[in-house]
Amino acid sequence: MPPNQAAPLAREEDRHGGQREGLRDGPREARAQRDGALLEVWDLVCHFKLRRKWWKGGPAPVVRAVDGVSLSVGRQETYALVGESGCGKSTLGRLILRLERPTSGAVRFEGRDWLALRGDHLRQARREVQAIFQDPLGALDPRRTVGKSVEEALDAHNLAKGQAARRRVAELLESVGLRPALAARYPHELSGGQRQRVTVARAIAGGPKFIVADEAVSALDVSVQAQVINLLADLQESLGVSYLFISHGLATVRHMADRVGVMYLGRLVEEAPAEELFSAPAHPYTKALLSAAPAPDPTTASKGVELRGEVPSAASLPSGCRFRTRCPKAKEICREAEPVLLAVAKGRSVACHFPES
Amino acid sequence: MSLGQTSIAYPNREDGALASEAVSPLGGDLNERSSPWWFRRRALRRQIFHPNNFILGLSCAVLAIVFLWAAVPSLFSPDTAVGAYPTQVLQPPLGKFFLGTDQYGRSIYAELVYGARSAVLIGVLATAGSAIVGSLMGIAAGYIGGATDMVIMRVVDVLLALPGLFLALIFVAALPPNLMNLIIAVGVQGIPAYARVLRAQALQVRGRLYVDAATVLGVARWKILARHIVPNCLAPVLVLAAIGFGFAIIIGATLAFLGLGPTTPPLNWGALIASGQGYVNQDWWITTFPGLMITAVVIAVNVLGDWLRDHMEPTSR
Amino acid sequence: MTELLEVEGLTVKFESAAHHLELVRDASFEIGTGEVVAMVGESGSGKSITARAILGLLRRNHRMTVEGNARLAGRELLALAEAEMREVRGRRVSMIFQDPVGALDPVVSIGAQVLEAVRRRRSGTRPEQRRRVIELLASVGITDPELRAKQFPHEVSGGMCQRALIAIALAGSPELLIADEPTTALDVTVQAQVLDLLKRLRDERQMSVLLITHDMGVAAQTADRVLIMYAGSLVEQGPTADIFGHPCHPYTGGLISAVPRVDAPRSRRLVAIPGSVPEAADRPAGCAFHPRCPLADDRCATAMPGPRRLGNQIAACHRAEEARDSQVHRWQAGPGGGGAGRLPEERAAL
Repeated sequence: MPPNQAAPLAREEDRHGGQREGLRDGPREARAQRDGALLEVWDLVCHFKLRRKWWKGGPAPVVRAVDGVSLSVGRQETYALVGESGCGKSTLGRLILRLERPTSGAVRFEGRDWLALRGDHLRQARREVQAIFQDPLGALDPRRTVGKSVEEALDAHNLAKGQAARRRVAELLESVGLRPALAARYPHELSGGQRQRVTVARAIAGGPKFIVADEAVSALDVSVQAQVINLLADLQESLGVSYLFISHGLATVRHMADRVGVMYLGRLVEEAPAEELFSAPAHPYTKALLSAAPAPDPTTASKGVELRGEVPSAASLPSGCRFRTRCPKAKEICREAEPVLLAVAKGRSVACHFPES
Repeated sequence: MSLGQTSIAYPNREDGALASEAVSPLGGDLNERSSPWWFRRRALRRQIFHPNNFILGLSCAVLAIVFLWAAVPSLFSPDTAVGAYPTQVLQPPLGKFFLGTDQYGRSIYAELVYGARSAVLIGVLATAGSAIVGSLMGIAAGYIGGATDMVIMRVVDVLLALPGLFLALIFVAALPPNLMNLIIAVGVQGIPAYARVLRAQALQVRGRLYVDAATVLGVARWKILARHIVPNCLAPVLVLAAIGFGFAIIIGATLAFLGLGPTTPPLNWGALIASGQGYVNQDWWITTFPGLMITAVVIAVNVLGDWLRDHMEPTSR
Repeated sequence: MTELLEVEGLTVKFESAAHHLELVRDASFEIGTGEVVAMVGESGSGKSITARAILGLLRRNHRMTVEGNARLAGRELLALAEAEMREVRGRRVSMIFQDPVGALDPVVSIGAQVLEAVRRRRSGTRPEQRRRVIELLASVGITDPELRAKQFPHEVSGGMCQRALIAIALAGSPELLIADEPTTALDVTVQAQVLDLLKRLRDERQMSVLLITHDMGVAAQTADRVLIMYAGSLVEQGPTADIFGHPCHPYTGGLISAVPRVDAPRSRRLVAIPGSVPEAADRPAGCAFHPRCPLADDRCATAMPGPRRLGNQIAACHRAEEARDSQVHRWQAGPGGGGAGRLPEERAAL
C-alpha cells in the first residue's frame, strides 16, 4: 500500500497530550497490520531554521531537509532510499531513529505512534529500531574496546550481565564473521571492514526488527563493501529484520533492495519495486541517476551526461517542480505546478508531469 | 552452489591484519598519532628521559624537590622554620647559613623548605577543586544545554568578569584568614577556565556519532554521560590543571604577601617576601630567594603544562 | 603514441624505529601523450603515494626514500632539485585532489585564486591575465565565469570548486594532469560531468591524465589504459578493454566483480573478495594477495611474482594464464547465490 495518497495523520500525542503506548485500532491501522507494514512514515516534515543574517532583510531562511515524505516498510523487507547529497535521506533516517525532531508528520512502528514515545518508554522501544552508520570509526567510542561497545547494547536493555554478557558478545562477533578475540581491541586497531562488522554486531545485539543502514558501506573499500552487503543480506534472512537502506548511489542498493524510493530535495520523486525501477525508471531524475553510475565495463558505453548543474540549495527551492532546474524535459507547467507523487501502477508512484511510460 | 565456487578455498585473513603495527607514510607511527595518550605510556617515558628534554627534566626535578619539601620538610632542613637564632639576624648567604637569615635570625633555606607545604597545598587543592567544580559545571552546561547551560554560563561570566586576583581577594577578605579559606579563594578564581573549555568540549563530544549510536542503542542518558561524554572530555583538563597549578601558587603567594593569608603557620613564601620588604635595599636575600622559588616553580609547571599539551592530547578524534 | 611519462622501478620506502616498509614496490608504467591512464586501488594500495613521489611531494625529512626513475619527456624528475621541481609542477605537471572545497582558500575569491596561478606562470598585462582567468573558467565548463570569479568557495557547490581547481591546474598548460580521486567527494551526476570534462580536455589539449581512483566503474568509463595497484605493488596493467575483458590477475577479476552495478542481473548476493587489504606493516610473504586469492598455491605464499607480459597486459601473478583463462577470476556467485566470497567463520555462523 503506498501510503502517500493518504491524508497526513495527526500526531497521536497532539490529540491526547500524553504518553500513550497502545493506540486505537483505526481502519488504516488494521490495513497496515494486514499488509504487514512494520514501519510507516506519514507526511514527515523536518525544517531547520537558519539564523538570519543581520545585514540581510526578510525572514530567516528555512532549510527544507525533509519536506513531506510518506513511505512504509514491510516486515523483512529492504527499502532503499536513494538520492544525492542534500536530498534529506540521512535526515529522514535520523528522524526515524528519533535523533532529530520532526516539524510535523507521523511515524508508526508496528502500529504504535513512534513519535509519541518519551523518556524510558522510548529508551526501551529503541531496542527494536537500530542503526548502522556510514563511518564506523566515528560510531565507536575511541576509548572503549569494541567488546565493551557491543556489550553496552546488551547492558542497555539488561539482556545479559558479566560473564554471560561476554559470552554473548563473542557469539555476536562470530555471527558477523569476526574472531571473538577481537573484542579486546580498540576501534583504531581494526580495519574499516572489521569496524563496520562490529557496529553491525552491536546493532543486532538487542534483536531488532528494523535497522536504519545509513550509507553503511559507502566508506568501505570495494572488496569489503560486497562482504558487508552480503552480511546484511544474510542477517536479514536469519533474523528477519527490515532495513531502511540509505545510499547515495543506485548501484549499491541493486542487490539489497526490495523497494526503492528516490529522493530529491526533501521529497520522494519516485517509488517502485526494485526490479521495475532499475529496468524502467519513470522519473527523469531516476533515469539520470542510473545512467550516471559508471559501469565497470568499457563496452557498456556511458550514456553521457544527462544532467547539467548541481542540486540547488534546500534553503531556496525552485518554484514548481524541484527538479525542473536540471530536468532535460522541463516545460512551462513544471515551473508553475509542483507534481504530486501519484500511483502509476501497482506499487509504483512517481512525481512528474511527464513520466516515462 | 555452482561448481566454480567449490574450488575456491577461502583462507581467513579478516582478523589477521594487525592494524596496531600500522604506519602512516606522512606522519610517523599511526599509533603515536591515533591512540589515546595512556596507550603510549612507553613512548611517554622515552620522551621524559630523552637528553634533549633537559629543560623538561630540570622542571621535573624542581617540582619533585618542592613536593618532597612539602611532604617531609624535616629531612631537608636541620633547622625548623620557627626556630630562630636571635644572635644571627640578617646573615648574608653562603655564610654559616646557606641562604642567609632574616631579620628574626631564621634560616631562609629552612623557611623555603617549610614554606613549600603551603604552596603545594594551595596549588594542589585549589587546582583540584577548581578543576572538579569547573569541569562538572562545563560538562553539565554543554551536555544538558538549554536553561541549565544559560544559568551556569552566566555564573561563569560573572566570575570571568572579575580579574582572578580580585575575585580571590573578595573571598579571602570575606572569610576568616586561614589556609583552607585561602585555598577556596584561589580555587574559585580558577573555575571559569575549566567551565568554558569543558563546555566547548562537551558540546563537541555530544555531537559525535558514537553518542548518537549509544542513544539509538537505548543507553540511558546518565550512562552516556558517564561512559562516553565525560571520558572523552577530560583530555584538556590535565593540561589546564598544569598551567592552573602555577597560577594558583602565584595567587596564593600574592594574597599572603598582601597579608590576607593565614596569620599563623604554616609559612608562606608570599608572606616571607612581605616580611622582607623593609630590608630589600641592603638585605636583599630575604625577599629574593622566596621570589626565585615561586618563579622557578611556576616556570617548571608551565614547561610541564606545555609539554603535556603537545604530547598528551589524544589526536584520535 | 609517444610516451610522456615513463616510470621505472619506483620504490618508496618508509623507515622508523619499529618499521621498515615499502609503501610502493617496484612500480613501472608509462603514460602516453594525450592518454588517460587510470590507477585503481583500494585504501593503502600506494596509489596516491606513487603520484606524490613522481611530483616530489613526499616530504623527505619523514624517513621516506624514493628510488627508481620517473622521466617526463626524457627528463628525470626524481633527481631534480626542489627549485627545478617547482618549475615542473604547475607548468608541465599539475595535480588536483579529492576534497575540492578544502583545497581552495576560503577567504580568497575563486577568480583571484585562478589569477594567482595564471600570474605565476604567464607574463602579460593585467587585463590579459584577467581575460585568461575568464577563459580558463569557461573552458572547464563554468557557466557565467565573470560572476563565479567574484564568488568565494563556500558560495558555490563542490562540483564548481573542483572545476575551479581544474582551471587552476590548467593555468600553466600542463602536459600531464594528475587527478587524485577527483570525483570521490562529488555526487554521481556531478561525477559524470567532471569525468566528461577531463576527457574533453584530453581531446582538446592533447593533455595526458593520470586518474587515481578506487572506482573500477570510473576507470572503465574514462581511461584508455588501467593500472591496478594492490598493497604497494602494481599487479596488472593494460588497455582498458583488455583489463575488463579478460583480467590476468585474480585481484583485478575480483575487483571487477565486486563493484555493484545498476545493470547486473539482480541476485541476493554480491561477489566479494574475502578478507581485507593488509596494512603496509603486515603484508604477507610472497604475493601480497595470496591469502585472499582463490588460485593461490604454495609458490604464491613464498615467491613474490614479478611482472610478466601476456598479450597487451602485464600482470604480476604466478598463475596469470590460468587466471585469464579460467572463469574463477570472475568470482561468479551462481544463481543460487551460495557461499562465495564469504569467510569460513561467517559461513559457519549463519
